[in-house]
Amino acid sequence: MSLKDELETSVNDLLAAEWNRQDATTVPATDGVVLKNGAKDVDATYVYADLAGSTKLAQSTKDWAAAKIIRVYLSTATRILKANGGEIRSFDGDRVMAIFIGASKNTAAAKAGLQINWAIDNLIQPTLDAKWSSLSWKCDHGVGIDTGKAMIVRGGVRGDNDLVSVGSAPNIAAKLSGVRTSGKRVLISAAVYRLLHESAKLGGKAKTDMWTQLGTTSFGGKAVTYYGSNWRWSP
Amino acid sequence: MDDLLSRGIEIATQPWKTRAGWTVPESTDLALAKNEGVYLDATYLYADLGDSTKLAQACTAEDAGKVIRMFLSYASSCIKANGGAIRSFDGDRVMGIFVGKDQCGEAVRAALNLDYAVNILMDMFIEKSLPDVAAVWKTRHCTGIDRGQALLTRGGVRLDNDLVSIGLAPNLAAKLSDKRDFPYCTYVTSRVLNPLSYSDCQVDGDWIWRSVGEQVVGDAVVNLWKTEKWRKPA
Repeated sequence: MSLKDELETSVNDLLAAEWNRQDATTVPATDGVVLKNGAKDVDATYVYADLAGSTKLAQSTKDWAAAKIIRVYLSTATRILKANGGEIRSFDGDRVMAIFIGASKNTAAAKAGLQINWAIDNLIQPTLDAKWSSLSWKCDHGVGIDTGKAMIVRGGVRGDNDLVSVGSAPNIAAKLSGVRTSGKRVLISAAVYRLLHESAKLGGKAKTDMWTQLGTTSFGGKAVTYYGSNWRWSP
Repeated sequence: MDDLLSRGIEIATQPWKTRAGWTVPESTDLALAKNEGVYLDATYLYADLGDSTKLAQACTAEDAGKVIRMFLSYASSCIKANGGAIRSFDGDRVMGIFVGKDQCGEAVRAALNLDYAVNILMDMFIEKSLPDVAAVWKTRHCTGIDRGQALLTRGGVRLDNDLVSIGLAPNLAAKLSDKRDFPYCTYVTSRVLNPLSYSDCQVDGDWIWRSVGEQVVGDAVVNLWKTEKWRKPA
């Protein structure tokens, strides 16, 4: 089939297909949603953990060194997200995405973010300092978290496709993970903040609020109030 | 916690086992545990749907789902039909890798085919069949392309990992796909432009590239070119 024909047929198929929509109480497996018209509705918390300054890293270091550093970050972030009950569903360059579902999803997600903060300062950076003392680049990251309803479908073509989450929460979480000007590493939407258990809201002996309200920004026409934290939680 | 510590040290200190590659590795070609990597001289293309946050908010999930799927299907088809390999999906964005002698030409052709698919076909289908979407949202996209040497390796942990491309080219291509400069929907670096044949630089006899000049893209200074032209798929 020529590309032209392929494009025309695919759209007709896409628009004509009735959605086969189901509620899901667990995060769908990668092969759990049908390409043709499958859709699983979830009420979930999305976390994006994104290594900061990767362009600078790629430019200032040998690629094999940059690769090690990116792998260390991804491996660490992935382990922490999973240990807190997150389901990993996407890797893209220096960024990993996890989906949390269930009664304490926001608390678990926020805790994971703060644990990655701890890991950067207490594991990753010290290891980099010891191994590459001349490396001026410092490891840092942005974590974005939002919660809400999403519809999980498949995108792509037969043989080359993957799960895609359609909804505000995954979108906002991704955008928050890319914010580098707030002074805080882990950013959560007000919706997430409101649902946090005390254990993930208050920290230290004095039980202070670990989260600072940072303001309200418009993302795609929607006003999102968000909070940030640089607290570190030891795993 | 010990787990984290030991794995981090392992990755950092283990020597690399790398080789030069000529074809784009499948996810299964590279082992996670050892520091295995493949060097590729490749052209990276990222195609990103614009304003998807607004789409998700202003339309029903079902309509938004159809639009996103349409875009991803088109982008994937255009990349594959022009010789590219799809290696990553991330939300409303797809990444393709092109290797070989004519990799820049192939990537540019894919981008221009996609421009037609999005701005002519997709726009028309949405107007006709998804009027609720057409009323509140405009179809916009951007394709970013750069070329260079990249190191492909696996990132993540056992059972949850994927191929990761490390290098300036995939990094820049991704950042270029974030540009929102309609009708200029294809952005390339001079590294991509320079090896192109004449036929890849013209549509209906017109030179298609406009110089953007030197710009800072995520800390790198690059020479950029853009085009608003499309090429109808054969």
